[in-house]
Amino acid sequence: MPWYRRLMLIDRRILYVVIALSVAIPMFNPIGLPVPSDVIAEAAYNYIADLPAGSNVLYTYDLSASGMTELKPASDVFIDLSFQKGHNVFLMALWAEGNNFSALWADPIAEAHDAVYGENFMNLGYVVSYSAFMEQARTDLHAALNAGIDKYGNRLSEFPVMKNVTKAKDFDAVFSFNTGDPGPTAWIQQWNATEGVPILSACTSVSTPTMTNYYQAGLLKGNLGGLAGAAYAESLHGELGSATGGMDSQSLGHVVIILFLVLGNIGYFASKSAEGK
Amino acid sequence: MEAILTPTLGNWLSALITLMLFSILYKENPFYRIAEHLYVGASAAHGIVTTWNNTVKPALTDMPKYGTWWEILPMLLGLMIYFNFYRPYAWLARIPMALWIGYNAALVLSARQVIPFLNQLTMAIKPLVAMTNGSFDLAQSINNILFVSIVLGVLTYFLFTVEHKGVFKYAADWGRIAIMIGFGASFGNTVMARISLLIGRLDFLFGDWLGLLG
Repeated sequence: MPWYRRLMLIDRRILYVVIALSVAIPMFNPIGLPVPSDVIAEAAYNYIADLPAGSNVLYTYDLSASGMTELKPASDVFIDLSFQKGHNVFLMALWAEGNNFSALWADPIAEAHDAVYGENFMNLGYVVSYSAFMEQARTDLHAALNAGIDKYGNRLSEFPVMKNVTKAKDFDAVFSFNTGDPGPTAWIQQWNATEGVPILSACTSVSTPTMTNYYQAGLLKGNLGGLAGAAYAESLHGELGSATGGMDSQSLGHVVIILFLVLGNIGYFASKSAEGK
Repeated sequence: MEAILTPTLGNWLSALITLMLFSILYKENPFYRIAEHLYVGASAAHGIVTTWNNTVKPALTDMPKYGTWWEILPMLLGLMIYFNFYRPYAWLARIPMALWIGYNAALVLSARQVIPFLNQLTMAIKPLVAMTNGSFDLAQSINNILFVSIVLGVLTYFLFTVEHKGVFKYAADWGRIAIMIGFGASFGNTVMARISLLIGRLDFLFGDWLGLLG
């Protein structure tokens, strides 16, 4: 068999093993590849960092478990940043699964900052019908949030931090950690378009092109695209975490895929050229 | 479940099921089939439990606690859907469906749905000669020229009422190249997302399960 045929017929299992090794080896021996700068991620970081103390920032977990690897590092950075800056941190979810992650990821950070529930952070829970919630919350946030009840079944009106947050406009920013829709598009259509509430996002890599469009059109104040965006946010925050650690694996994995793409193409064009003769 | 599913047992179960699912990469086998069926069953169960815990249970417990009895109304409307299974009263199921469709149709037809599109349209109009702080900005100008020409090229590509000849052909070809580059970017991002998933699993296997990572 000619060499170019062999290139085109590499057993896919060899590809899987090589990709698995290229992703696994940097976990044991980090290479420390530089994280490329990301203007849109930097815009998101600076926007939240520049909000004055006492600002009300709503972090919304519009995600499923599939987004854990890419979105947890982003959540860690921004929740920590908000507590550092003295913001009032509000958590909620447009996805039922996200409701589990909001507490799981944010509560340990709140605890590390000695944040007091109800005074400088709140978990508003999961809303079933997001469009109805967003519409009603424009004028009456408390009523829109499961008839004024938080994630743990307490009345929102009992907490001091909720006194000045009664409608959508009272939020200085909404930051959506998202794996799909409903996510930033819904927030943009419902709260940004009508109330002018600034929207930011941390999305999975698949959604990055869409979010980039939104950013360029001025609909998003910033976006963290996948693991790379989260890794850059970690570097801006000065605390290198799992996203930065994963970038070596990510980069090496991509190099291997590109290499196999090139080899496959060489085989394809060589075979076409040979057939032409 | 929590009582028997200790972190160690949970880790072992997760690790074994992960390996069983990965085994399809070698070839079709019964371990993969078992894991696949377990996954489908567990996903369905997880969906039911998540919906119950996050939607039904809070409503049922909060209603008597806070006297929000009006919540019975949407619950009854929701339950009316099940009349679909009882033919003599199946027409009752149309009431909640009509409300739901009407509500969503009104929402989709509202002007705010097109605002993001209009914003993107407005932002596509850029100066071809860009000035920064009063002086000519070459890099920004090239960027804007590329941006505008790509928008026009892609729009021409999707212009089906004019034959793609002469200047239209060049514009459509330019648009086609731009679309291909766009697809390439999307593919790259998809690969990145899939590798992220693999990183997550390997991190679990080597770190949480085997404890090999520091």
